[in-house]
Amino acid sequence: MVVPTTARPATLRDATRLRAIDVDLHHQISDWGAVAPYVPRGLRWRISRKGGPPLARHGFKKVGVGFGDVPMPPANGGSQPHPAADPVWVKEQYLDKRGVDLAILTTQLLSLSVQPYVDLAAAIARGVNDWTLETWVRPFDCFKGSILVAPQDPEQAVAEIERHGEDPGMVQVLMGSAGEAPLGRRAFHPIYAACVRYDLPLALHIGGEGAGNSSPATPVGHPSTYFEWYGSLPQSYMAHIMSMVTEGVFEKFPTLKVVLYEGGIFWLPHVMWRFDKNWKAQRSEAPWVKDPPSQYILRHFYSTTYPLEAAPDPKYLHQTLEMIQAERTLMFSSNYPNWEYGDPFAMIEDVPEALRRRVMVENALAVYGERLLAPNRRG
Amino acid sequence: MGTHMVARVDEIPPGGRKIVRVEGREVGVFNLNGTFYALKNSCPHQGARVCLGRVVGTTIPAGVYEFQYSKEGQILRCPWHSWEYDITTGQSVFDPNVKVVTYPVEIVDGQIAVTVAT
Repeated sequence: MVVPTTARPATLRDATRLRAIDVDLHHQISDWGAVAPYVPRGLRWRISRKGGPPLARHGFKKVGVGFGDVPMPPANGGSQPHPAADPVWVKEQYLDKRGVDLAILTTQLLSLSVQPYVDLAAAIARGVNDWTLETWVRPFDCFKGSILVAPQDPEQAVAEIERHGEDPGMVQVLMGSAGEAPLGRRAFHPIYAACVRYDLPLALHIGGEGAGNSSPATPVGHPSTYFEWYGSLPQSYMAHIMSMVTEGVFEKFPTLKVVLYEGGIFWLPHVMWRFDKNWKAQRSEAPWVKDPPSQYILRHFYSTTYPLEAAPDPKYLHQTLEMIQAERTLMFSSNYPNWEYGDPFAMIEDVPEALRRRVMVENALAVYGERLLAPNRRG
Repeated sequence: MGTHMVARVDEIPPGGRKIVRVEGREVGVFNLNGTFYALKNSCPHQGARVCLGRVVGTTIPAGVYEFQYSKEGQILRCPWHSWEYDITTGQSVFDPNVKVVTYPVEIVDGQIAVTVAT
């Protein structure tokens, strides 16, 4: 949505001065004791311990330190502090130094969507959302929050969206892409109805694939290594895209926007055109799919830059950017502080100059709207 | 261009069809409830003999999770790749611009007359 400068309320930030918007910053909970007071009392006892709540995760250990050249805080006694645990550190050492004016917080809890204990998952989401608002978002205009939800119980997920739906500090609904079922299934539709009711994009983030309640991380079984697991993750998005288009999610919710985090882009043209080709012959099974599937995909899905595939020749990237209409659909994401796949700015050096401002600023403004520019306090 | 008598009316009963050859091309003549239609026997996709396909109905575009099976007897499904065409217009179900070529049909003295352009 573009609002003429003259009509813009004085309280909104001036979008023309923004240099970069990072739509994926993984802030870290280093002390679950600080989150506990925000968790409903009945389940608080399950998380109020130093290591946090018990969470099913993939069983792989990352190779190396995992943070790339992210500035590390000084050691605190014997333990090494986490580079994304302190909002002041993140602002000064990352945002200010790299020229990023706004960052959307996405937690480190992307496996919440696969936790079998659904009430605990919902309680964690609730506690983390309130903690994020109070400790990161309210005090800092450079941070915006995501409404983290546990989709395995859509009813509680909807209630959580309703709690924050009008909060200017929250700019999207966030959930893990791993879970019990393809996301087009109608059990999830109330979540999408809530997203459009509050004009909030839905963000999907890989992370829980193969763990907890989810199926194996690939349709043929469990990967053996982190290397194989991470490389396989875009398959989640392929399955969800096909499911959401086929099940008519975008016919029911024509204003829904879906942001795909950390999945790359080069596989998208394949999905679009395989799907279009088959639709011509097979559309009668899902007659509500009225347009070629690629049109729904281009209208409703948005991609993020980290970790952009390392194509051996920039011309391959340029072709793919054209195919996915990157001038509208691609947004800069840093994945801070998980820079083990490279520096997020160096990674996009081959993105053409003509697209750069779209990718760094304007596409995010179009996707998230005025909430990005609004002060983080209500009223 | 010419008009050709391709069959007697009583040769093609309702729901029936006849493949005829007119000026070097094959044409499918269909009887839908007493009205005759002529379509070129060539699918715009890859040239299959589309008029040999099954005559069926289909689920027309509808609301989410609604199945409205209609146009029974009016949809021609190509035998190669299952693209569906409306016999009365030649248009595919998925894109009106994807069409099987159609020819005007008249009934003259109990004969079916098909007019083709050269």
